Amino acid sequence: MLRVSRADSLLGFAAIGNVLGKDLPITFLVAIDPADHLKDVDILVYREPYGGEVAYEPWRRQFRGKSAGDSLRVGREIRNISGATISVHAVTLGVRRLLAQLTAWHQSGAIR
Amino acid sequence: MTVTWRSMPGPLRTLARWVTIVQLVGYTTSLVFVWHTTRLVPPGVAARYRGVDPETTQAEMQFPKSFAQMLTITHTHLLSMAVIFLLTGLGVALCARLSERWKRWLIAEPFVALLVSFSAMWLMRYGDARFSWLLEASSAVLAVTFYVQSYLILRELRQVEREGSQVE
Repeated sequence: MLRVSRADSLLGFAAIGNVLGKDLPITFLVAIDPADHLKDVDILVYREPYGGEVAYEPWRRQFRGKSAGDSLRVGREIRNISGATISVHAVTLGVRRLLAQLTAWHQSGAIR
Repeated sequence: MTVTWRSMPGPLRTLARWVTIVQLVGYTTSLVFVWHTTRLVPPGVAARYRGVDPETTQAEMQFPKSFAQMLTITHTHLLSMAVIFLLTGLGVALCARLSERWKRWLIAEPFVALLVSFSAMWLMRYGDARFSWLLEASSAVLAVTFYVQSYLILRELRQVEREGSQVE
């Protein structure tokens, strides 16, 4: 878990997670702001030959501003990517979990 | 001596029949897949390879195929389809009821269409989207040739089996 700040001002928190793609793990980062809204998602390491489009910005920006209470479902709030369906489902699930964890830690005071 | 299906051992004819049937199922499945991803129309094909601006539609996102993806698609399809048409070409070559001229045309045409199709695919991706029409046309010719070849092989094999059973 990472605490992100500039000077004395808290910018938010971030955590790194792994989800299984078709055969290999996808390593990603989720960052939230102090109000527990998702700041950004980034794909840190993508190892499979197919499905790397989940790292493209137009797909990742769909998550910005979401919070743990929001529903993040592929085909509804999150658009699928043709040719990357497995990775889209895996990363969306991973983001949902990590966002819920970060929010719970922050709200319980475990991170501050 | 001319080698035909009639002069082939029975087990080889059985093998040829079942290979042809399984290839028919496989080729048809691949066409269903392409219909699912592109609706089998040139604009759909162009969108699949060149991508679509995510802001212009709410459908599934489609991004341009990368150079590595293009290389993978090209080499896997060219090699596997060359094997498919090698097998159907052999089957057609052994058909006794076809003229030499028709045999040569049916055997060579798919290989030419394969080269045209994959050249069109690259030109469509990196040149002009309108090459999707050429890709569509050559792929259609390829599919029609495959079904004609398969029909001729199965018809010939059935005829030979019938003649064999009548002699017995």
